[in-house]
Amino acid sequence: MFLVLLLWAGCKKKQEMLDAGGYKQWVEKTANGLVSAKEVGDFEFAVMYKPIDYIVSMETAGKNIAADSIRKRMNELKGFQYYTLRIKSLKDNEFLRTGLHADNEYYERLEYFVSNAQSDIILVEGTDTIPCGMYHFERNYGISPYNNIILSFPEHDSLNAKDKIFIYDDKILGTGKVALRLSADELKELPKLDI
Amino acid sequence: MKKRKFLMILAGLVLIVVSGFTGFTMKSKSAIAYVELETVYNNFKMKKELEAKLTNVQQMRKNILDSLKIQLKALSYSIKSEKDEEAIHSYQVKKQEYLAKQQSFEEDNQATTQAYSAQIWKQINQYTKDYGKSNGYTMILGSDGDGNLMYADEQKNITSEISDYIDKRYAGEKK
Repeated sequence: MFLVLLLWAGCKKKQEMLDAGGYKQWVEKTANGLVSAKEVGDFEFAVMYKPIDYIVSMETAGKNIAADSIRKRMNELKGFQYYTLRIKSLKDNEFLRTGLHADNEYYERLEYFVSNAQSDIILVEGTDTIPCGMYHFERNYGISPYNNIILSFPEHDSLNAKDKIFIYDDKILGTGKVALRLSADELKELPKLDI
Repeated sequence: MKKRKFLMILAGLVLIVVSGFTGFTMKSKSAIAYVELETVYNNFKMKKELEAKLTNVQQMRKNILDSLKIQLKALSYSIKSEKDEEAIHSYQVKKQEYLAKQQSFEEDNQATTQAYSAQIWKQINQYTKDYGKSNGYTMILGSDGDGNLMYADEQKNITSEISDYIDKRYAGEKK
């Protein structure tokens, strides 16, 4: 029995500790499974799951902040799960202008993404469908081919126990429903931020 | 002697690598397959979802038109004589409303059908492209019975594989 326990303890993967810079790189690396992307027509949709440690690592990078303050901030962020949806044009330097048929369509798209797209975004975890709780479209006035949308969903009982299917049911770009899956296996035992 | 043996092994290795590479390129060059477009389209989960959505919307619109039709009929019965101007006016207003709504619904149904169809094809095309790239196909042809593809060996038919792949990708699976 002791031998089995010893073997189990030896085989069990030790949770990785990363500094702020390392944490950022780890999350953003597609191979680590926290980013799921898909191309549909002239657009690429990519969703990134942002663990609380990642958000805090971004907020505190390069700053000398006391460990207690960091822990306090982490507690404040609990209760929600955070994502960034990136919509990128594969054709132009601004996704809001890709495939337009008329000038007014640009403003229709802008209005949709600023005010209305939140209701077209849901997260499916097992049999639960979670509506988007917080939505913010980051405008960049065409300086890059993509825009980021900052999102959060209420956290359910067993966070990261089931696959997460992120669904954006497009109503304006002509792509239809876009689903992006994040596997529960990839979300288990995430690294921790070294405070 | 040792040098000769080494050269022979080296030559053998080169031969294996070259034949392997040639075989690989020949295989990729001949990797052509076809899909039955109608089957792929009709089996696609997105098509079924949008079709159900459209049917619901169309049914709701039909109910609205039916209600208006009943009101129109009731108004027609309320006209007692040709001099009953008020009743005639009410009837004409309702008839205009009915016709305008009917036309608007028809146009909208058509536009929605076209938009849905475009979305479905956009996703089918994208996932077929992804499938072709990941599986080393140089070409995937679409057969829709219009004469573009007159004959192909059944072994080259990947309709079922493509349909499964498309449904998985639509559901969010990674490449």
